[in-house]
Formats: sequence, structure tokens, C-alpha cells
Amino acid sequence: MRIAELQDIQLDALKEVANIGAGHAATALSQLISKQVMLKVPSLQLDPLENVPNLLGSPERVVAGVLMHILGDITGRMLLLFPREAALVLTDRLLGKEPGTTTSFTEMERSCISETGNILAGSYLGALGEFLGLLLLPSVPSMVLDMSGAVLTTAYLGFGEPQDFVICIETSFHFVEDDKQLKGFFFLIPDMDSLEIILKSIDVSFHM
Amino acid sequence: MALTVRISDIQVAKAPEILVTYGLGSCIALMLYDPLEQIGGMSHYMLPDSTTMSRRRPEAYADTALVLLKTKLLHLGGSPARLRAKIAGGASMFADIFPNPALSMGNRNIEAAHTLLREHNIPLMAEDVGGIIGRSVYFDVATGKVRIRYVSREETTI
Repeated sequence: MRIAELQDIQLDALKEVANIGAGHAATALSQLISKQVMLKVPSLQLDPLENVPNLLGSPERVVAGVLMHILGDITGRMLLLFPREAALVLTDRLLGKEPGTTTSFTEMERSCISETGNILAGSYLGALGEFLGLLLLPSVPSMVLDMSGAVLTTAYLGFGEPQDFVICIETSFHFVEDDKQLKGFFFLIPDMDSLEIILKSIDVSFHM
Repeated sequence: MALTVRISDIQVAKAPEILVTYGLGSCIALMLYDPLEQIGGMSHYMLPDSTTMSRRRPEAYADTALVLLKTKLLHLGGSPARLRAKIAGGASMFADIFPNPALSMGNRNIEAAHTLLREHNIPLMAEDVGGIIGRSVYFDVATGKVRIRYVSREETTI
């Protein structure tokens, strides 16, 4: 079975898993900033590698990217991407500042975005691991601020020959207090062998 | 005028065309030109070696991409003896979580370009490679000049 042959029903299942992960992440983030945050996964899709740099519009669009290795029963990477403007808004919220305060990324803002990435990755991987019956953990995060095309292709290609398809999990943040929304993208990039393991586990889950 | 070169893509053109590729990370923009004929071409390759990895189209790999690009330029009237090269890209973003930064895909892609250009006897006139930053590359085939833009740095010309 190849990733391109994933059925709609299996993608729906993965989306449900991602939503459970988003729920866990929302709880963690809400506790962190003492304000209610809701997270949802409006879409989960498979995209051909070559199309990915254009997913966020122009490949020159500036984004904040947080990359982590996946450790445990499978290997690969997870990438969290926020458009620059969304990353600034998110930083204001997380640091409890007035909206519009953050205009550039210093060490504090960077570590704030990294931490968000780590919380989200941990929650998503935890939910996915539970669904698949596998142990999955994120490594320490690495954060960059650069062109989306460069960030995405390096995340996919930088570590070996990649899959033809990637799993893109759109994630929307809703800050309940003032009804502010923002959007980020999560990319699941399993290594070749690991993708087989994930697909087999999904297959088994469907035939139980 | 500008003609966009996508990922795993090769384009060749005559003056006064500008060839552009956006958002290079670990990939390489390999540019060849014949200054007398004022023609040039750009390959945006992703991976260093088609002999150990071979699942993709030939434009994706340094070795096969260079052969294709050279052939296209010769068809356009270029002379093998006059061909010159410039390269840009090959960044190692996220280097702090690489198991071994020396073996990053960016560094392997740069190394592949150097080796292959030597093998093909094409002189490398200039390069802007490595580091941890993304690049957009504008190649003027009339002059062989390459303008490179970054997110957090002044642009340069090589």
C-alpha cells in the first residue's frame, strides 16, 4: 500500500486523530497562558511534494517554522508553520501582551514559537501513537524564520530522499476571550520505512 | 521578463530573459551560460545523486540535471568549451537538530555541484552557497550575473 492510495475514510480517521491531538494541545496551551484556547483541524490532506512550496501562497512568503524529529517506534520529522503575521499574533497571546505589541522575533519570541511547536507536536504524536498503538515522541525543536519554500523543502529534503506525498494538517487557533482566530500548518513527514508502519497500522485498525 | 524555474525543473533561454527560482533551501540553483551566444539555463535540483536514489524524474538529481541542462544549451547553440557555471543555495536550515551537519542535504548538494562541474570541465565562476538561510535567485542570461535575495539580509550579486 502506498500513501497515494490512502482512502478517504482513512484520511478522515487520521483527521479525527489529529482533532483529538488538537484537543490535548488546546488544554496544554490554555493552562500555559491561563486563557481559553480552542484548536481545530479543519482539513487534513495529502499533497504531492512538488506542490507543497505553493501551499502557503508564494514560496517567498515569510514563515516561522519549527522542526522536530519524531522519535520512538517510527522515525521522521514534524514541521509546524505559521505565516509571519500569525506567529506575531500568537506570540502576543502567549506572552500576555497587548495585541500588536510584537513586531519582530528576538530570542523570547523564538523560544515562545518553539515551545508552541513542541506542545502541538507532543499532543499530535501522542494521539497518533495511541490510535496506531505505537510510541511516538517529538525531539527538541529547531526554529527558523525564512521563505516558506526554503523552509518546507529543507524540512522534506534535508534529511534523505523523501516521500512523494506529504500529510498536511491545517490547524486553526481560536482565542475565546476576544474571539481572535489564526491558522497554522502542521506537516507530518515520516521516513520511507516508517510510512509503511503507519499505513499498516491504519489498515489493521480498520479490519479489527 | 522573467521565466520561473520550479522545483525539479530546468529552463534555458536567450538574452534578454531572466530566469528566476524562489525560496531555495537545501536545493541548488545550478546555472550555466555561454557568454558569447548570450544564452543560459538554470536547473533547480533537490538531491545530489541519481545512482543511489532514483525514484524521481532526472531533473531532481544533480548528475542527471547537469547533463540535461548542458544538452539543452548545446541545442540552443552553446559551445561546450565556452560554458561557465554559477551556483546558489544548499542551505542547512535546522542545522541545530541535524545528527551530522556536515552530511546535511544542503552540503551534499553543494559537494555534488563542485564534483560534477569538475568532471564536465565547466569552470565555476562564482557561488553563494551554504549557511542557514533561504534564497531567491535571479539569473540574467545576457550577462551571467546572478542576483540573490534573502529574508533578513541585503541582496547580493555574483
